[in-house]
Formats: sequence, structure tokens, C-alpha cells
Amino acid sequence: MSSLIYTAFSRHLIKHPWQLGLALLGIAVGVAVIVSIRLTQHSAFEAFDIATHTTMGQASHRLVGPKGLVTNEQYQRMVLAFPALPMTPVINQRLTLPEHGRAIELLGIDPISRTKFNPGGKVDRLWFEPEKLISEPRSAIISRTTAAELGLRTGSYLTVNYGPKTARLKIIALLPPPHSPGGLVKGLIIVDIATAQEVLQLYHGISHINLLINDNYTATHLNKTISAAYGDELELLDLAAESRRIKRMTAAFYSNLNALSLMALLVGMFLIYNTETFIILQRRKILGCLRALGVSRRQVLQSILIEASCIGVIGSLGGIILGVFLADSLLGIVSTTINDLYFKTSIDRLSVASTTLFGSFSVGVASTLLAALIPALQATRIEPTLMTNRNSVQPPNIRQICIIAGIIFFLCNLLSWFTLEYSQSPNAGFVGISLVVFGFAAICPLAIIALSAGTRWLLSSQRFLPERHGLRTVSTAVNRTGPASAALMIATAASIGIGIMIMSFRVSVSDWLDTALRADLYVSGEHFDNQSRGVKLSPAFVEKIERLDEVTSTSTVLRQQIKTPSGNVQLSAYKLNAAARQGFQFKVGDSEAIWVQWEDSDVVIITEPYAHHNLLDIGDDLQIKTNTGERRFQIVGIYADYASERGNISMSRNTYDRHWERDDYDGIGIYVAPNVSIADAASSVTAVINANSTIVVNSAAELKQTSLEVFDRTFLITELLRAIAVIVSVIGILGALLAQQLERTREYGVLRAIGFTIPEMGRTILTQTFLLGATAAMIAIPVGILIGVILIEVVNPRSFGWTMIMQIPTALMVKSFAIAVLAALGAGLYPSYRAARIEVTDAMRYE
Amino acid sequence: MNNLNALGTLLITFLSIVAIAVKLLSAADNSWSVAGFLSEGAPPLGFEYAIEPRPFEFPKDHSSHPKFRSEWWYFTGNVNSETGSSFGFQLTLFRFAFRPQATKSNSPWRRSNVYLGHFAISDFTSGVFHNFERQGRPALGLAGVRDKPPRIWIRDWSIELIEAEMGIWQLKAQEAGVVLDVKANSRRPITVQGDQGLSKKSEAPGNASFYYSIPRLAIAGSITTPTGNHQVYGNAWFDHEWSTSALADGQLGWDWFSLQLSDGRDIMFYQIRDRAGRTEAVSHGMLLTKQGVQTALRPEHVQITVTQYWQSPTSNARYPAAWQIRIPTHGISIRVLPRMSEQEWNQSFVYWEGAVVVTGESATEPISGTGYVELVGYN
Repeated sequence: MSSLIYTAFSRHLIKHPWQLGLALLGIAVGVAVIVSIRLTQHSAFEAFDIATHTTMGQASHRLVGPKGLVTNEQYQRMVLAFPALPMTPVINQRLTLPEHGRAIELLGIDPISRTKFNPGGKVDRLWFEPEKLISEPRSAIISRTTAAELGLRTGSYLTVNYGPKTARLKIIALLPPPHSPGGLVKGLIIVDIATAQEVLQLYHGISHINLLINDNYTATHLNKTISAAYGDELELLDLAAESRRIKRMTAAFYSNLNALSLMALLVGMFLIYNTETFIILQRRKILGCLRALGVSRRQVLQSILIEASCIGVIGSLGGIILGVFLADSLLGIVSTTINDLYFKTSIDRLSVASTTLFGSFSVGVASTLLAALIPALQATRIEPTLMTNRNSVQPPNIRQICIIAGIIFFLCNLLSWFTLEYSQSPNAGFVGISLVVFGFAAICPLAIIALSAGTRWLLSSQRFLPERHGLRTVSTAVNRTGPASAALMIATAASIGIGIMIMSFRVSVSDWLDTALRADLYVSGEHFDNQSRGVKLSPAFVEKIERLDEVTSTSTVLRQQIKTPSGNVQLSAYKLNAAARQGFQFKVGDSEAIWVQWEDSDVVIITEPYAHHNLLDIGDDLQIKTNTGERRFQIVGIYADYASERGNISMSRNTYDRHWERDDYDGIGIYVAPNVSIADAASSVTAVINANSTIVVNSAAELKQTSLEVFDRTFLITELLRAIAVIVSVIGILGALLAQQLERTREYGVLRAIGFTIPEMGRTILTQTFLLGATAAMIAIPVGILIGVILIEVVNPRSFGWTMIMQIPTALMVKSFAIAVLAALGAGLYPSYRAARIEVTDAMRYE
Repeated sequence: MNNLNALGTLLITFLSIVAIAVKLLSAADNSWSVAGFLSEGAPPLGFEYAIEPRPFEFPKDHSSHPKFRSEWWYFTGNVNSETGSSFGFQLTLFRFAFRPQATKSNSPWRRSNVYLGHFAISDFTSGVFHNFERQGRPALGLAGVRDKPPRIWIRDWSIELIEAEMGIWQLKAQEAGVVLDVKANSRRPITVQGDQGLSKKSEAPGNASFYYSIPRLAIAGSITTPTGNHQVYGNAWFDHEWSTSALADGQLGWDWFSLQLSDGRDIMFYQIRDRAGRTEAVSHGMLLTKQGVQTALRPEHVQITVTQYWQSPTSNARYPAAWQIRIPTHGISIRVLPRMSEQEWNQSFVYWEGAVVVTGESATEPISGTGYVELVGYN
């Protein structure tokens, strides 16, 4: 008997490939988006780990100096203090390649002491001779990939620049990609530590010391000894903790993407639900016959679920393949964002994690089954009958729909409110969003009925008979049209919500940049990344700038990593003039009161993210390790800052000078005299800068532009995924509506037979699809705004601690509305065309 | 069923490929070997070779000879504590040069040498072989050789001649709670090996080293192991050897014996083995009497029979583990046994270097003794 059911089912599916294809597409896209996001994340982390491993071997800790420099003498003292501890010097610095117009990361190592950091503590001579690297001055190693990019071979020479200093390195070996044993990441050039000092012409020290802390020396013992012997000169970093911290930082970035992928899956589930419902409706006759032939309800349920799981399996497999391809193309974008914001790494290749694939596969199959469950249960209620039951479509019980939809709507929104109110985790925001979306999706059928009734009332004239007919049929077939409309609504709403969030974020950042960048020109030592040191500016240099005729005044900043009980944080010590003070937008705290205490009291102001992450408020004290010992600083203000996710602390330079002894600066803000053009002032400032230094001058406009470029790059992937989700759901909706219209062939025949003209047929069909599109779009707008509100008010503050000014861009609304309606209308075109060409007699015989 | 079989075949094939790949990849794990380094290709130009015998000058020759590619200072000894514990110790410092002289540079890291240290304590009472390897770049004074007075060091491991007139050396090394801190007082004169100190390793000219020994030094000092701190006394042997090209192609390794007999005689003999396992004719040694009379030993004078083997569970290398040695010209017939099997080095080089005990007869008198044996090229 089961074989009979399966034969019946499979023949039905083969006869309706549209539906099968649609169901498969729905689930495949949902799975594909999940897979691609997960895989890109996995690849980024793996690339990070490989890069870490290549550059640091098995180092567990790192000793760093306060200015990013450990002197030769400090290294010597450390080695003599811990003669048995594996310790290796490292120099890293970004160099430019004048012949290629790009940069490369120099890594100076000591192959001898590094031996202990190799797997098994053995000399790494798989691909090159360490002796050669040590003994041949200016010899270097790069990866094959980089060599190919630069057109180099073994024996080639490469000119590198460090500021004005030039050196020629000889490539003595090419290493395979990082996933091979002894391989190397690209964009890296490895030299001996002596060569590194010679290239940089910095002979007195190294960048840091890598350590492998084993059982004999616990980190705490070492830490104590180091702080006893070196005070603040050196600081021990736990690399595993650093790596975890760096990976954690990207979590918020990925949570946005993961939410998006869940949304895609939700759309997929609606498509499945839609298809399954439709398939069951079509099979009423077959199912009735089967039941009459003795098939039990359980067998019906079983076979429908088995069919659904087959679709789930095939769809998910397709999704995985699609996802891997998608991930491969997303990798470049993710890589850029991660490099901009989190850590420097080159993601060489997509790393396909089987756990991710298996997990996404399971999610795909499970969602399919879940979506098919309600239609399957409905199918079990079909009574046994051998009668041909043509009028299978029963008008829906509007009362029942109203009650159910109302209850779901109310419960979901209530639950969402509870979640948002009582849970503090950023994930609660996503749960809240899902619930709101689901609640609103439930009222889609209701809205269709209402809108249909309302429009019919408006179009009461006989002239609108085709339209009235169309509206009526949409409303009576609401259990079929509802899910399609809901799916379109979800995709549109998600797109609107994310659009609102990004737009608001961008406007806030742009406003903040406008306020914060008060000076006309900014001079700074070039910063490559968060870790490397910039060139410090000397007091003499600042004086020289101040003496320029074009300059009316300056403000300065010095940045330094400091220790607080909750970890290290960047401290900025500002010398601010009146104009520069205007650049701070205080979210909490009275600016007048702040500026009164600013110079002479031990007070600090902190950024929003810092306050958020450390649960700090004004009036709280912050304990900071200074040169004069542990000191308490009162927090007097919390200000807007979008520059750092971790946040930072600021104090006046006067306050800083009371506790630390430094006379240099990291940056100068220059205020140009009113009658001088900024370009002229910039060239005068550039003239002061020694041609040999790496100091750069930027105008406020340039800085703003660069910042916004980074911002746009960050959200490029979000935008891209959003576009993918919309396009796919539009295609899905198109397919769903199309399938439904095609099923109505007989109805069209009847209409034609009773005298509907071809244009009237078109009007009927287009009215139907327009109504569905319009309903979806109308609900999507408030839902989209709600999603935007939750993202802005809940998710972002909780993930990053950033507040932003909400923007509701009209253009976005109009665009989304138009896309939804056009998608729906588009779905009506082909059926209209077909209906026009229909042979009345054939159509009447259809089914 | 057919499908199942096909699936099974596929699975097995896949697993075999994985297994082969893993095997190949792990085989690619290269490590340094002394023999490899010593016979490795042609050294860069500019190094000097040991070709002709040369006069030795002490204490100057105790320090380094940077014009030669490799050099080592080798102390091995057998000691006993007052409480009855017995130990073997080894402190070896190697110097390997990449080029004959360093390139001029402002960087203090620019060096052309690397130092390697091996420090071992064989604790016969507890049966533990403590062994540590250290590498050091002679930059920033963290490793190197000083001339006056001679001192060779890698961080806090050092060999230093503290009293040149009396020939007293100080040996210091410590790692992971294992400490060697002893004075070694020369009991025999400096003894040059081979042909007036030129020790040939193959027939080819230049494949030789300059080599001298102090065959017996009285040890006094302390050894610390996890079992505690021990005041120890005993005998040690000192070798100092430098060369640019020692082994020729086709030479596999060597067996080196240094034995101190109870009747006051000291014996050094090494045999170089070729790939077929045969002893090469250049193998040689010497016998030194208590009175300081030195006799050269040629392969034809010394009959060495391996009576037992030991397979290392770590490297799987199969080492000789008991020898019957006969030197008929001196009436010596002795049995040499490792004081424990587990004295294999398994770090940058794989070799066996361990304390041995000697029993046997000289003419008809029973003799005993201790010593050290080094076995290279068995892995």
C-alpha cells in the first residue's frame, strides 16, 4: 500500500515540477545563506589561527614594551633572568614595495630560538635552510602566492621601503600556502632578526618577545617577576586570551549576519509551507481515494512527512552547494571588513567545515519538516471518498482565521516585548525580531481578506467586475495566498529594517565625524593597525607647526595603552582648545561641568561602548595604573564615539602629565587661519615634516571620507546578503503565485466561457497578484520599521554600546513597496498571457 | 548489496589514501643530525680545513677556532654521592658556523654562528635520564666563547677554565630543577689524539679534525635532581674537537668509547662505520697509562664484539648495548655495559650517549672501570 502512496505522490510531483522546484529553491536558499555566513566566519577564524601560528609558532605569551619596542638590553635581561624559558625575539613592521605600489608585512625572526616554537621543537627546514636565512644578509622568504602576485622567483630581488629607508631583499625560498606543513600566509615577508634591524635601520631593539610558557614557569610567577624587575617597562600578554578576545569582538558583526541568514531560512520555510499546503489541496482527490482504499491517517501523515524530508534533504544538499559557492564569493568582502575592523589577516581560501555543513543540513531538513507538519496534519483529516470532488476549495472560515491570527499576533508580540524587556543579551534582540515578524506574518491572511473586502466596496461599480472577481477569489483562497504574501512581507520587512538600521548608523557616524573633526588638518604618525606603533611627534615638531603663519591654534593627542582592573584600554590624553572641545558630544554628563574640572582634577571621560562594556556611569571611579602607582579617576562624562568597538578613555594632557612622564604626541589637530586655504596650509605643514619620516597630513574632509569608506565596506556584506534575500524571495513569491495561477486554468476556462474578454481576464489576474503584493508591502513597512527600532534600540546598544539617531528614509519605503508590488504584478503576467491564449473547451476539461 | 560493496570499497580506498598521505606528511618531518651536518655538501668558501698536524698552544686552544665550521667541548663523567647514589653526566657545547666570519653590521644580532648545548644527568638510582637541549645565538652576550680565561656558554650553561695552571674547570648547567655544578680537576695531561692532534675521519685530505682530550679529571661538586641535592665525586673525560669537514659521503656514523680503568689506564677508541656497517680503516684511538705514556690504537689492535642490542622505544633505533672489547697488545679483555639503556638523545639529533661500566681482566688481574659511549647513526 505504501508503494502505491509513493507512486501517487511522486507522479503528482513530476506532473507539477513548478511546485517541486519552488519548494527546493525555498529550502536551498535558506540553507545556502546560513552555510555561506558560517563558512566565511569559519574561514576568517581559521585564517587568523593559521596566520597566528605562522607568525608566532606555538607561542603562548608575548612580552611587549609600552611603545611597541623591547630594547636589546631588555631582551638580554629577560633571557638571563629566565634562561630555560623558550623565548624568541620578533620584529614586525609594515613595509611598502615601491615597485609594486603595495604594502607587505615584514616579520623578523630568530630561527634559532624559534626552534622551540615549532611543532615538536624541531628546526623548520622543510622548505628552506634556516642557516641561509641567518647567514646571508638581506635574504628573505615569502609565500608562493605572494611571489606570484609580485612576479618573484627564488633568487629574485625585492626592493622594500620603510619610510625613506630602502633595502633590497633577496628571495631565497618560496613557501607553500599556509595549510601545507611549514606553509606561510601571503602578504608576509620573513627575514632574520638581524636583517629586520638592518632593513628598518633600528638596531637598538625588537618589536616584542614571544614566549612559550611551560609547566616550570607559570604565567603568574613570570608576571610577578616581570613587574618586580621591570615595573611598567614590559607587559606580558596571554596570546590565547588575546586571540579569544579578538574573535569575540567579531561576534557582534557576525550576529547581524546570522540574523539575516535566519531570516532567509524563515522565508524558505514559508515557501515550503506554501508549497506543501498547495500540494495537499491538489491531492485531496488522490488522498480521498487512498483513504477509501484503506490507507490509514498515520500512513498519510507518514508518507507526507517522508516526502517533505526528501524535499528537505535534496533542497538542503542543493543549499550546501550553493552556500559554498556563495561563501567563496563573500570571502573577499568579509576579509576586507575584518581587516578594517578587527584583525589583520589574509583569508587565502575558503575553509569548508564539515560540522557547519552538517549543522546547516540538519537545520534545513528540520525546517522543512516543521513547515510541512501543519499541511500534513490537515491532510490526515481528509475523509475517505472515491467521489470526484471538484469543488475542493472551501471558502475559509473568516471568523476562525480572525481568531487564530489575532491570538498568534497578540502572543508573538507580547512574547517579543517580554524578551526585549527582560533579557539583556543581544541575541534576545534577534529572538524579539523573529517573534514580531512571525506575529505580523500571522495577520497577513486577515489583511488580505480585509483589503479585498475594502477594495471591493470601493469598486462597487459593474465596470469593475473583473477586479471584483479577482479580489473575491484571492480572499476565498486565503489559506493559499496568505503564506505567499507573508513570505514576501518578511523579506521586504527584513530588508526595510536592516536598511533603516544601516542608514541610521551611517547618518550618526557621519554626524559624529562632522562634530568630532573640528580642526582643519590632522597630523599623525602613520598607524598601520591597532598593534603596531605609530611614529611619535616630538614637542619640537609641534612647536614648529604652531609657529607657522597659516596656523592659528592646535590641539594634540597622545595615545597609550593603560591597565585598568577590567583589562587594557587605550587612553587618549588631549590638549584641547575651545573649538576642539565642541567636538565632544556628551551622551551623559553636563559639558560645562566637565570642562571646568577637565584640566586640574583627576577626571576622565569615557566613550559609550566603554561605558556599556564595563557597566560604568558618571560618578564611578576608574582605577588606572599610572607611573606614580594605582590612581583613581572619576568618570565625569560619557561621549559619543564610533571609532572603537571596545571603547576608550580620555583625559586632559595636564592630568596625564601629573601621572605619567612623556613629552611626545600621536596627533595634532591644526586650526588654519581664516584667510588661508586648507590646501595651502597643508603644503606648509608638509614642508615642516622631515621628508624622511612617515608622518602624514590629512584634512578633516579626507578623514571623514576614509572613515565613511570603511563604514560602507563594513556593511557591504550586509547589503549584499539583504539584496540576495530580497531577490530570492521575490523569485520565490513569483513562483508561488505563478503556480497558483496556473492551477486555475479550469477557472479561466469557465470565465472565458461565460464571456470574459481577454483584457478582462488580465485585469482579474493582475488584481489578484497586486492585492497580495500590496498587502505584503503594507504590512512590511510597519514591521520593517519595528525591526529597525529593535536593531537600533536593542541589538546595537547591547552588542556594541552605540546609540544612533533613527532615520526612516522615505525612499527606502517607497522602493521596498514598489519592489513587493512589482514582484507580485510580475507574477501575474505569465498567467494573464496564458489565460488569454486558453482554449475554452480544453480548459473546461482540465483536471 | 552491490551498492553496499561498492561503498565499502570506496571507503577503504579513501581511508588508505588518507593513511598514506598522513604517513608521507609525517615522514617529511626533518631534523638535524650531527652526521648530516658534518658531511653536508661543500661548506661555504673561506673555512679552514684540518689537513696538517699543527702545534697546540694552551690555554689558547681551549677557546674557539672560528675559521673552522664546527667545534665542540665535551665533558662526560661518572660520579657517586656520599649517600650511595650514582650518576652519569654530560655537558656538551657545540659551535656551528654558517660562514667563516660575520658580515659587518650595526645589528647586534648579525652573527654567523649558532651554539647548541646538550646537558644530561643519568640518575642510575631512580633510572631517569634527564636531558636538555639548548640553542643559542651568540648575540647580546647570550652565548659564545671567551678567550681569557677560556669560557664557553649558552645563557647559564657554561664550561670555564677557572685555574689554567692547575687545569681546573668549572661546569655549570641547570634546567627544570636539574642542576650540575661541579669542578673538574685535571688528573692527566692534555692528550692529543690521532696524528699529533690531527684526527682523520676519512682518507680524503681535509676530512679530519683537530682533537685533544683530558682523559681523566677528578670531579667534585653537586648534582641536583628531583630526588634531591647530592654532593658528588668521580671521574670525567674532556674532549675538544674542531673541524670543517669531518665525515665523508658513505660514512654512516661512529661508535666512540672513553673508558677509565681501575688500574689508572684510560682508553679512547672510535670506529667510523660505513653504510654497510663495516669499520673504516681511519678509525683510531689511544691508550694512556697512569704515568702518561700514550700508545696509539689502530682498528687492527682493537677487537670489538657487540654482544647485545637495545631498541629505543622512542626512535625505534636499534643500538648496540653490550660490548666485548679485546686489546691483545695490552692484554686487555673487558666487557662494557651501559649503566642504563635509556640514555638516548631524541631532540635535534638522535643519538645514544651514555655512561657505561667496565668489568674484565688485564692479563690475569681483574680490572673494572667506568666510561662513556657515544653511538651515532643508528636511526
